[in-house]
Amino acid sequence: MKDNSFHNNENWKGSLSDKFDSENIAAPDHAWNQIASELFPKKKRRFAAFWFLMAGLFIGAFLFIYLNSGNDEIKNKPSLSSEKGTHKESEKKRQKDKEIEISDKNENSIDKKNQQIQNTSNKKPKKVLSENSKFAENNLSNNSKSTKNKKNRANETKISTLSTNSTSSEDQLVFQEEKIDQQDNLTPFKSINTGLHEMDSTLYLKPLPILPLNVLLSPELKLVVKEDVETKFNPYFSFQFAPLIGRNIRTINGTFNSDSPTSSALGERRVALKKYGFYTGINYHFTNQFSINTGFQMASGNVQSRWFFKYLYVEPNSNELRLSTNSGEATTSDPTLIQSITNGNIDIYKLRINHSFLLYSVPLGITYRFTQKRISPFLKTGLNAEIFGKRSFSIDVYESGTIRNIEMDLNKPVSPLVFQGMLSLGVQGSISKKWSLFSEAGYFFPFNNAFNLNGAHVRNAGSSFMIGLNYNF
Amino acid sequence: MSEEELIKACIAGNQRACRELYELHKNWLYAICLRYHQNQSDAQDSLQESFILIYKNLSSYEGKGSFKGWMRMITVRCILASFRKKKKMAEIDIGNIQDPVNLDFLQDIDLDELKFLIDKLPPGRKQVFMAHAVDGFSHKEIAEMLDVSEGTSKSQFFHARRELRQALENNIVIAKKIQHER
Repeated sequence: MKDNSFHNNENWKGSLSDKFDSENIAAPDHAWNQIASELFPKKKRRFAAFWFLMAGLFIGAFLFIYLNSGNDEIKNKPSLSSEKGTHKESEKKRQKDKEIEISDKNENSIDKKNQQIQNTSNKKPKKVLSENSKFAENNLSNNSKSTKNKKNRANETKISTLSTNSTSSEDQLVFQEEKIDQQDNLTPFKSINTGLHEMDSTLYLKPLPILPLNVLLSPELKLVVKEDVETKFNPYFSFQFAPLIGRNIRTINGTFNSDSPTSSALGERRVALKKYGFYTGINYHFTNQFSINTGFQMASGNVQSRWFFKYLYVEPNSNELRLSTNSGEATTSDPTLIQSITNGNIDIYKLRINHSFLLYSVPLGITYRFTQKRISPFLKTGLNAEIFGKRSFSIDVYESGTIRNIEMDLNKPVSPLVFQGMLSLGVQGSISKKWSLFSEAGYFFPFNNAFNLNGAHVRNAGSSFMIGLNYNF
Repeated sequence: MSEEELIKACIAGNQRACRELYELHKNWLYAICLRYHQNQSDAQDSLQESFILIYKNLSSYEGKGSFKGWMRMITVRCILASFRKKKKMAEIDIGNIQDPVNLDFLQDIDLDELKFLIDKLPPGRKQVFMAHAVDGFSHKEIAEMLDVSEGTSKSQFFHARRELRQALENNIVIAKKIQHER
C-alpha cells in the first residue's frame, strides 16, 4: 500500500505522514452504540412474545387432548378388548376381577336376603309375597346362571349391590323388587362388557329417573352412562372461500438507497400497506374439534409513502437516478428530476413514492374449534409462505407548484419468499347442514427478512380479515 | 488482553472484546475520518462504517503487517468509497505530470497550520492529497477507490500541491506585512 519509493524521494511526505499519525481526536461516545446495534442486533421482543404465545397454545392443546383422551379411555373401555394395548387390557381384566369378587360376595348376601324374604313372607301380604318370591326366584336363577357366566355376574353385581343400601328386611324386599324391575328395563346392562356400540343410548334415559340418588351416583352407573355416549366420528373435508381485506406490514431498517452507504433513509420505517383479495382453502376435519387446513390467498394493494434521503444516487454513466427498493432497483432518467439533484447542497430530499403490488400466499395450519354448537369460535395457527408478484413503482415530484408523477422502471425485481407464523381467531356459524358462514382475523409474524441490501432489513408481517362461506363435504 | 487475543475474541463474537478494540483505536481512526470530511457528522458516519467493516473482515486479517496499518487502509478505503458515491470527480487526465512543486517547507510547519491549509483545498484535491501524501496510497489505488482514472488522481494531486504552495506563500507574505507594519 505504502508507496515507499515515492517517500524516499520526497522527505516531506514522510514527515507529513508522521505528523498526522500522532494525531488523536476524541471520538464521540455514542458512536459505539450504533456500531454495536449493527454488529449485535438485539432479538426483538415480539418474537419472544410470539414463541411464548405459541408455547402457550401448544401446552393448551396438549392439555386439552390429554384431558379428553382420559374420557375416551373410559368411553372405550368395553370395546378395548379388541385393542392390543397391554396396559389397558390388564386394567380391564383387573376391573372384571373386581366385579367378579364383588358379585361372589353379593351372591352370598343375595342368598341370605332370599332366605330373609322367605322368612318374612309370612308377614307380607300375599300379593306382594308372591311377586317377591317370583322376583327372588328370578334373581336366584339369574344368580345361578351368573356363576357360569362372568358377564352376567358383573351385571348382577351392579344390581345386587344396590340392595345393600337398604336397612330393614321389608325395605330390602321392596327395593329388591324395584331392582328386579329395573333389571328387566336395564336389559342393555347385559351387554356392558360385550361392547356398548351395540346399545341404544335412548334406553338409558328411561330407567335413570326411577333410580335413587345414591344409585345414580354410583361409579358403576356413571361408567355405564359415560360408555353409552360414545359415537363414531367420520373425518370429512370442507371448502372455504372468502374475500379479504388486510395489511402488508413492512418494517424497513437501514440503508434504503443501495448504491450509497451514506444515503440512508432516515430511521426505521414501518409501513402498513392496504391489501384486498380473496382466500380459498380446504379443511380436513379429523376430529370434532381439530382440522388441518391449507389454501391460497391472493391480494393486491397500493400505497403512497414519504421517504427522506440524505443523498440521492445518480449513476454517472447512464445519468439515472437509482433507488434500491424492496421491489427491486427502481430507476429513472427523467432529465428535469436528475438536473434538480444537487447532492450535498441541500440537507434532505423528500420523495413521495407510489407503490402497487400483487401478493400470493399459501397458509398451512391447524384449527381448533372451541365448541360443537351452532355458533363456534375457533383458533387457527400454522405457517404461511408469502411471495410478491407483479409490482409497479412511481415517485411524485413537486415542480413549479404542481405535482408530477414519474414512473420508475424496476430493473432487478426481486421476489423474496417470506415465511411467517400465523395466528387467527374467528367464529363460524351454521346456516344449514352443509353451509356455514365464518369470519376470521389473522396476524402473520415474519420468520425471515424479505430483503437484505447494504445493511437494510425489510421484514414483511401481515394482517387480514375475511368473511366468507364454508361448505362441508 | 493482548491485541492478538482481542482480535481472536472479536472473531469469536465477543462483544466486550469488540468494545475494547474500539476504545483502543477509535481516537486515531476518528482523526483520519476528520481529515477527509468537512464536518463531524460525516466523520462519525465514516468511523462507524469503518469499524463495522473492520469487525466483519477481521477474520481476513492474516497478521501480515501492522494491525494499525490494516485498519487505516480499511478506514481510508471506506471514506473514499463514500466520496465516490456521493459525487463524481471531474475527469481531468493530464497524463504524466512532472512534479515541479517543491513542498519540503511542509516539514517545518506545525500540524494545525498544515490542517488549516489542507482544509482550504477543494474536496476532490484534498482527498487525493491526503490519501497519497499522508496515508500512502498509490495513484492507482486511489483511482480505483474513487472510480477515476489514474491520470485524474495525479492531476488532482498536482493541483493540490500547487495550491498548497501558493496558500503558504500568501500566508508568508501576509505574515511579513504584519511584521513590517508592527
